[in-house]
Amino acid sequence: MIKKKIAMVGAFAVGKTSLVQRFVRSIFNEKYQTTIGVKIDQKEVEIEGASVNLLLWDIHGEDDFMKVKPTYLIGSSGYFLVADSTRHETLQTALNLGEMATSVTNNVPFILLINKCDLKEEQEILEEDLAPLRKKGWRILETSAKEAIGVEEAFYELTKSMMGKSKQ
Amino acid sequence: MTEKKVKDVAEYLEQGQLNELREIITGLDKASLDRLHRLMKDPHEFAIEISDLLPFSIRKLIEKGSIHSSDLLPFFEEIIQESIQINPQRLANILFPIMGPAIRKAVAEDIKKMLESLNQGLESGLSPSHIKWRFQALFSGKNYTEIMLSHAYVYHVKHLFLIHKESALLLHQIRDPQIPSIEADMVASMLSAISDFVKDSFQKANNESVETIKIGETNLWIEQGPSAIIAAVVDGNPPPSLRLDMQEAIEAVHYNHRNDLEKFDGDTAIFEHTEKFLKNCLQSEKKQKKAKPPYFALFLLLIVLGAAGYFGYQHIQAKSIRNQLISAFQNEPGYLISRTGWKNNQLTIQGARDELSKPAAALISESAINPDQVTVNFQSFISVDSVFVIRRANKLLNPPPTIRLSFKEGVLTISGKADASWITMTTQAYHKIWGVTALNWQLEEQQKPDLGWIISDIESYSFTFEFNDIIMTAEQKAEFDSLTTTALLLDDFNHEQNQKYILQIQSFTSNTGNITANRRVALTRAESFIGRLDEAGVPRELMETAVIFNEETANPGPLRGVRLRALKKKE
Repeated sequence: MIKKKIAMVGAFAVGKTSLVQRFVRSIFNEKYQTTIGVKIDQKEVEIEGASVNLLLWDIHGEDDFMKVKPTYLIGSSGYFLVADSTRHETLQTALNLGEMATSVTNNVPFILLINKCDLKEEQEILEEDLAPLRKKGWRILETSAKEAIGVEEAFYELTKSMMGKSKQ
Repeated sequence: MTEKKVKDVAEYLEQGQLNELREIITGLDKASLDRLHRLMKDPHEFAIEISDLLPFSIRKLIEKGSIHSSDLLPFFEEIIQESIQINPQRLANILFPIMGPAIRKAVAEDIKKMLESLNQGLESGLSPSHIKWRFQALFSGKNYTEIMLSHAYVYHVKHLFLIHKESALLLHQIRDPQIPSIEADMVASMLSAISDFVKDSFQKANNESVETIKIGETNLWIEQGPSAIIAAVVDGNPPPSLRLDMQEAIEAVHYNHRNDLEKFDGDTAIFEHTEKFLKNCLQSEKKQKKAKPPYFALFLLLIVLGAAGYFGYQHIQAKSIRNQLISAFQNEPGYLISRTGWKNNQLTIQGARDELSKPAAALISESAINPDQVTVNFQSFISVDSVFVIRRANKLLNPPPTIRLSFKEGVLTISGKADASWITMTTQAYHKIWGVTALNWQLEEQQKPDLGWIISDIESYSFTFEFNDIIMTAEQKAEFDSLTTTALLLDDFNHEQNQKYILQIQSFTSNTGNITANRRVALTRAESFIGRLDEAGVPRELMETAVIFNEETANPGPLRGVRLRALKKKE
């Protein structure tokens, strides 16, 4: 059995827990519950005929008072940087966390998720904000845990990348 | 010095110089070189040389980790398999001395365990403490077995996790089979997260880490290695030696899987081999219980044995009662038993019964069996047993109380005293008794039967035939049998009366037609009578024939008829 650790990092209330819940249990809860420390879930997926057990580390959101501890990211085979499309500042937090993640992981695959994409009229993160990142080769996906948009794809794509890297 | 000696010395010096040169070049003297040469040339000697080194080399390779003992396993398995295929008896003979004691020990151990388990099960079902634990399990939502085990052990290692330190992924886990499984992967990750959190929060150095976490009565013991950790979930108070065993296990894991741990990319299959190291840590110590006899088990055993004995006794007794009844039928005169059976709580007896025998219902009622459980089916038959012949004789002859009857081999013996009329009636009727072929009178002298009736009886018979016919009809044959019975008594009559009567068979004819032919037919009829009576046992000298022409006699008889006359024999 292949096992992989995936970390979810981002600012507080960007929807990391909702994304995990949507992926693992296919549910969405409107009520916001902040994550303290780390919450771990798992899901088994099939990638190209191989069974992979994903251990999902839903790490608390970063804010001015609580910084994400790098130790949570160590040993991850991949990670998601999550930003809230309706809060522009969350993109910067994600970028900062991305830098930290790069320093503690060994260039493992990651994807930037612009969550809450269903709230079209409130969007603050625009394509011009993302264009430079895309130029750098970043993989960026728009997701909505509420409407189940892009969630499965994001997890499968990251898992595929991790498997590809492990084959190399 | 001779020329030869000079030559030998020169050769010797040359050889010595050559050896010296060889030793300088190779660093080996001649003996060593010769030994190497021998080894190269002689495979047998080479094999002997290698055989000393080979086990040592394999041991060294295993110690170095270059090869694993599991790598050698397939070879040994193949060798053993091949040996069994070629000659299984050989391996059986090798194992025989250890198999017997091992099997005996295993069986004894199993029986002991079974008794203990039965006793424990009974106690756990009934004792107050176990009832309390059941309630505890009900209200806490925990498994009852878990609660029971936590009370049964001083300490009990329930789970062991081998966790990759960097990724916090579970590499391998083992657990006590009695403990339900848990989401081990998530537990392992969470455990690492907690450790990381504690370490970060209290800003501990890298070489400092969480060693113990206590949750209620459950302890988490963590033993750190450079690349992996072992976490043990323990109930109770484990001894310090467990920590040492965990240290040894994590060292063994690192020693044998250093490369696997360093290059770990999520594939945990290789770490299944670590089970043998982890197993040493799956320890427990049971609370010392006062050794007491297994009362519950013995009590249950006694009840079972008692019930088995009672039902066994009932079964045997019922069978004995049935057999007694069957024997009673078999021994009772007038019964022939052909078949018996016991099915659906019903005894069936089949056969034949003389109507004068004891009724079946009487035999059944004399037995201890419930009559409703017996079904009888008897065909009727006539028994020639002496008892029944005498019963039938009594019924038919109704003898006076002064008469005794006995029967043997077809002869009915009549002894005692009776009046003449009864004697006469008996003489006429005895042949109607089934099985009786003759009478044996043993009467007192004055009670000899009066056979005067014989003469008149014999003379009362008359047979008439059709013209030229000598064959009797069926009716005439029956009448003739009756005549024969009486005729047989004539000899007795002669003796009794001191007379010399003979039977004259008179055959009547007439002068009409062919007289000679008439005479011949009449004579033939008379002679056929004599022949039949002779066959029946009437002495020949007591019979004579007479052909009588009705026209020539004063006392004519029936035309074409035959009648018998008892005449005094002329001296």
